[in-house]
Amino acid sequence: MHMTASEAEGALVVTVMDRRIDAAVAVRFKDKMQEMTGQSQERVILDLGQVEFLDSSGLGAVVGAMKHLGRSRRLDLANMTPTVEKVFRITRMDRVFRIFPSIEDALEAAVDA
Amino acid sequence: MPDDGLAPTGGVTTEDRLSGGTRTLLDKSYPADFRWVRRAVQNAVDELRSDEVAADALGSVEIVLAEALNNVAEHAYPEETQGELRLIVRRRGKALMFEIRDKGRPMPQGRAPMGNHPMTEFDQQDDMPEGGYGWFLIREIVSDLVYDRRDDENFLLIRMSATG
Repeated sequence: MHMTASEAEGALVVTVMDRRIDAAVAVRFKDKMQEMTGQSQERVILDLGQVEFLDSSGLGAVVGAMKHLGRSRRLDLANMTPTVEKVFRITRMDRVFRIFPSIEDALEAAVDA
Repeated sequence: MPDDGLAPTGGVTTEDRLSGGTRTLLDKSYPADFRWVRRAVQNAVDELRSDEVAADALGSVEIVLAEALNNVAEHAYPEETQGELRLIVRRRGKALMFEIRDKGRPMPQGRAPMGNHPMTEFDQQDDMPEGGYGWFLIREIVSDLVYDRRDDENFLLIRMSATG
């Protein structure tokens, strides 16, 4: 699982470099998210722009990552491709997460809006 | 689902004529684990993309196949057993037909799960379920699904549209 992190305007932007978050890698994705967000006290923006496909295991891992950040730190999602967006929409997770069309849009939005 | 069953003009092959317009695009067996499921799903999507299935429909197919096949990989066989699954993809006009077979355990109560949304009972963020969305996704996307068991083999038959 290849993921990178960068600091930007009070947020930690985590970019998934793999094309799929599916059952084969969901556990590793969740572990890596914990590892990468462990030090930070900031809001986390997950950049899914490279991810072409996410299944229910991947969805569960994103939910798990959000739960791990706790109530004090927010996990926002950005840059979704069409099939990933479809999974979030059908499961109504688009009402649980804030989803932004781009990282720029996510950074512009207030943390608690 | 409408089934025009008509081959496009000029695209009728010998195989089409012999099978009444139904073409088999993929028929392959894979080890029933998550890594091979990924391969199986990609094989099916690649075949359908070459067959000019629209991107939106391909996305739905990819979701449904991944969930149905992962379900086999996760539940059909006892943990130490290396089971197999077979994926058959057929097309007749605008209808896409998927047949998923395995020789593992039958589905619970001999039926395909209803796929209720796992979040119906949560009320706090901390309790939000991290699993159980698979069959919900399948049921939301697919209206035409049959589960059957014959001679110790599971059959899941799914029909979807090539036009989304």
